[in-house]
Amino acid sequence: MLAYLVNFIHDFIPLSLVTGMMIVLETPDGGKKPYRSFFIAIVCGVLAGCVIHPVALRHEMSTAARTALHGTALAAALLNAALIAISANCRRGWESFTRGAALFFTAALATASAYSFFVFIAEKAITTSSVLNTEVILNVGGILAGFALTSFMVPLTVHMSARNGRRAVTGILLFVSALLMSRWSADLLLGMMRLEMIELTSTRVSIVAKSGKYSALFSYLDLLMVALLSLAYFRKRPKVTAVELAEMEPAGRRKKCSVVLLELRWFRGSLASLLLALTLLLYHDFYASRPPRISKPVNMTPDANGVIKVKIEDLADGNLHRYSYVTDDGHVVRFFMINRSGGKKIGVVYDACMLCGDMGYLQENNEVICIACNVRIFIPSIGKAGGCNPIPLPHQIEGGFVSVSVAELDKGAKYFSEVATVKVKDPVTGKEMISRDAPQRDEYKGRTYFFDSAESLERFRASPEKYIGEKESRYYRTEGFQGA
Amino acid sequence: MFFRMLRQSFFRGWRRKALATATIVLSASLITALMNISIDVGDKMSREMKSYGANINVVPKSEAIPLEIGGVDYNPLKDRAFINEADLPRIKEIFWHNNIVGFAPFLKTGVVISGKEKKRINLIGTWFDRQVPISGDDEYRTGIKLVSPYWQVRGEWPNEQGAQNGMPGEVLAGALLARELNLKAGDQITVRTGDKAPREENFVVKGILTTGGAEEKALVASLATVQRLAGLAGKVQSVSVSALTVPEDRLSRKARHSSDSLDSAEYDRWYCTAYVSSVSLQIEEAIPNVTSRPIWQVAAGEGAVVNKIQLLMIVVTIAAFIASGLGISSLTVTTIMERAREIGLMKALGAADWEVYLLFLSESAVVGVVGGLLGCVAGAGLSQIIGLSIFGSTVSFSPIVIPVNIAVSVLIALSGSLMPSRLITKLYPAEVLHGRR
Repeated sequence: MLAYLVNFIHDFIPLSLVTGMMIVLETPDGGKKPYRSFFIAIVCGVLAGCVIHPVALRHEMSTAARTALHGTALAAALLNAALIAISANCRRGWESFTRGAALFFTAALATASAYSFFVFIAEKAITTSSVLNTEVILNVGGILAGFALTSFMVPLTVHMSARNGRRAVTGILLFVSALLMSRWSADLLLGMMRLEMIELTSTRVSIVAKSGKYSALFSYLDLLMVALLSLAYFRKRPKVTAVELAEMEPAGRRKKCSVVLLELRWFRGSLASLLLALTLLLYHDFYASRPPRISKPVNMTPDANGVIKVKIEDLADGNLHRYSYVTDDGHVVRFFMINRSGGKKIGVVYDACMLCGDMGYLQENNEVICIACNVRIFIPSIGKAGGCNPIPLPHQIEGGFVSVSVAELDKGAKYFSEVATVKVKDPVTGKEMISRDAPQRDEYKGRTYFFDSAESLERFRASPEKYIGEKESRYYRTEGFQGA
Repeated sequence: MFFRMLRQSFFRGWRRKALATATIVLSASLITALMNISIDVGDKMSREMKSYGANINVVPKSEAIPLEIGGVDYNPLKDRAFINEADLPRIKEIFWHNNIVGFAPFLKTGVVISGKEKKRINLIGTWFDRQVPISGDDEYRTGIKLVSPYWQVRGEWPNEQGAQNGMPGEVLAGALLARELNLKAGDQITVRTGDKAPREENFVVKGILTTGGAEEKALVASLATVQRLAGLAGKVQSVSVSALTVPEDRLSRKARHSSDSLDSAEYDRWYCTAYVSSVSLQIEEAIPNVTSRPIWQVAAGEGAVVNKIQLLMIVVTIAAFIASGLGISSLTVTTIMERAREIGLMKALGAADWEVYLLFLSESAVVGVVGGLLGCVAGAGLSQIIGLSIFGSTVSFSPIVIPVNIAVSVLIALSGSLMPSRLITKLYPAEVLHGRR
C-alpha cells in the first residue's frame, strides 16, 4: 500500500507543483484562473500515458516509446521555459503563445508522470489472486490517497503562489523545470544509447548513472519549493493590529477577522500536507523499502597454524553465526555455521550461493532465507551442495571445536565481491604498501597481486611461479561445485 | 460555528434522516455481505499463493487424464497405473533437492473388517516416519509425520514394518470410522480384501486419526502391509511431496498459463527459482510417467465458486448503489424545499453558495457514515448466512470491509444529494424570505 502511495507522490508531485504555479502565471491581471484548460491538458496527458504504456509493451518498443516521450517532454519544457523568459519583459502579444506552450508542457509532464507510474504498476503485481482481497483494496487505497494528496497540492500551490511576486514564482517554476529537464535529458541519452542512435561512452554512462542516483531526491526538492512558497506567503499575509480593528465598523471587523483566519488556515493546511508527504516519503525511502540486510559478521583471525577455530558450545543455540576473514589481498570472505539438526551436526558454509551470488543468507525466526531469491532453505540440508543452498566449506570437527583452514577460505575468496583495504607486499621487490594505493595490480589464478612499479609487474608476468610458488587456483562461481 | 450549525441542523429533521440512514443501511449491508465473502476467500487464496511451502501431488500419468462424464469416472486405467516405490528417492535428486522437506507415498485398497462385512472401507498404506537412504545422506527420514504435520493421532503411531514375529500388524483408525464402528485404541480387528482371492490379516488398532480429510473414514497402515495385502509389491498410487518454495509472482504466473510463452532467459530464471511449478516440473522429469500438480486447496475449491459469482456481486452492488442514491436524492429535495427560508436567511447574512453546499453535503456525509457503520454490523450477520449456505462454513470478518463500506456509503449519500443541492443556487433570499416560493 505504502509503496503505491509513495510512488504516486514521487511521480506526480512535480506535475501538481508545475500546474499550480503555471495557473498563477497564466492568470491575466484581474481575470479568472484558467483551471479548466489545465485540467483538460492534464486529463489528456494522463490518458495518453495510460494508452502509450500498454501499446508500447505489446509491440516490444518500450525503450523507443520512453525515449520519444521524454524527448517530447524535454522539448516542451525548453519551449515553455524560453517563452516564460521572453515574455517576462514584454507580456503583450505573447499571451496565446505562452498559454499554448504552458498547456503543452503540462500535458507532456502528465504523460511522462502517468507513464512512469504505469511502469511501476506493471512491475509489481497489484493483486495475487483473481478474487477481491484485502491487499488489492489497500493498494488501490494507496493510489487514491496519493491522488488526493497530489491533487490538493494544486490549489495549495495556486493559493500560495498568488500572493508571491511574479518573479519569485517564475524563478521557482524554472528551477523545477530544470530538475525535470535534467532527468529527461539523462533518460533521452540512455534511450538513444540503448537504441544505438549515439555511441556508448563511459562519460555518457556516468552522466546517466549520476542523474539516476540524484533524481530520487527531486521530490524532496519539490516539497522544499512548496515549503518556501508557503513561508513567503506567511510573511506576506494580511496583518491587522488590534488598534486598527477597534477603529473598524463591526461588519468590516468581522470580515477582516474572517479573512485573517482563512489565510492562517491555508498556511496550516499547507504545512500539514507537506509534513505528511515528507514523513511518508522519508519513511518509505529510508526505512520500509530497504532490502533486508545480513547481520554483521564477526571478524576472525587465524592461529599460528592457519586455522580458525569456533567452539561447538557457541553454536548450541541453533542460530546462524556469521564470521568473516580477510585474505592477504583484501577479499572479505564470509562464512557461517549453524547447528542444523538440534544434535551435534554443524553446517559450515560460505555465506554465498552458487546461483545467486554473495548477497548472503538471513535468519528470520526459525528460517534461513537466501536474500537474493527469497527462497527458504531447509535447515537440515545446510552443508549440502545444490539448489540455492550455501556453498559448503570443508572443515574438521574435533575436540569440541569446528576448525576451518585459512587455505580453504582463501580458495573461496572469488565467491565474494567485497574488498577491504589491507597492507600488501610486492611479490617481486618485497616492498610494503596499501592495497588501494598500489600503482599496478594483476590477477593470477584468481588472486590479486599488487606491484610497486610497471617493471616489477612485467617481471612477475614473465614467470609468476618464481615469486609466489605453486599454489592451487581459487574457485570460480562459474565452475560450479567442486567435486560435485 | 460551522460545526454548531451542522449539529443543530442534523438533529432538526431527525425523522427524515432516520429514513435516509435506513436506506443506506439496507444497501450497505448487502454490499458488506457480498464483499466480506469475496475478501475472505480472496485473502485465503493470496495467502496460499504467498506461502513459503507447498504440497505437490504426484500421480501416474494416465491417472491425470480426465475421463469423467456426468460425475462418473470412466478412465479404464483408474487405479491400475502405479509408480514404482524404488523410484521415490529420485525426488531428492532433482535440482531443488534441498528444498524437498519430505515425501510420503500412498496406496489404497478396498477391504472389509470381518464381523462388519456390510461396510467396504479403504485401507491406506503410507510411510509414517521411515529411513530412506538417499545420495549424500544415509540417515534421511521422511514420511507422513513430516509431510502432513496436521495429522493428529490419539494413541500411538503404528510401527513401520507391519506384521512380524507373529505379532499382528498395527493400524490407525480414522476418527469418523472409529465412531461408526465403535473402534478404540487397543482393539483387535481382522481385515479381508474384497476381491476374488481374499487375503486376510490381523491388526491391532494403535490410535485414532484426525486429519480433516478423507483419511478419517479409512484405516491407515504401513505401506509394506498394504502392498502385501493388495498383492502390489513395490507399487504406490500417489506421492505427496512437501517443498519449501518461493511465493508466486509475475514470472511464475506467466509460466503457469503456458511455459511456452517464456523466452529462454525467463525460462532459465523460472527453472532456477524454487517456484512450486518449477519444482513440480523437475519431479516429472525425475520420475518416469508421472504428473505432478501443486495442491492449491482454496484456489480449487472456494476460489472457483467465488470467481464465478464475482460479477454478480458487482452488479448487485451497483444496483444497490443506484437505488439508495435515488432514495437519498428525493429525500434531499424535500429537505431543501422545506428549509428554503433558512437558506435564504443564510445567504442574506452573507454566506456564499459553497458554504451552504458544504452544510448540506456534510449532513449527508454524516448520514452516510452512520448508515455505513450500521450496515457493516447487519452485513456481517448476513454474510454468515450466505457463507453457511454456499460453503457450509462461517466466514471470518475482514476489517478492511469497514473503511471501504463507509467510503461507499458516504459516496452514495453524497452522489444522491449532489444533484438536488443545485437547487440551493436557484434560491434568492428576497423571494424565499418574502414567501413567494
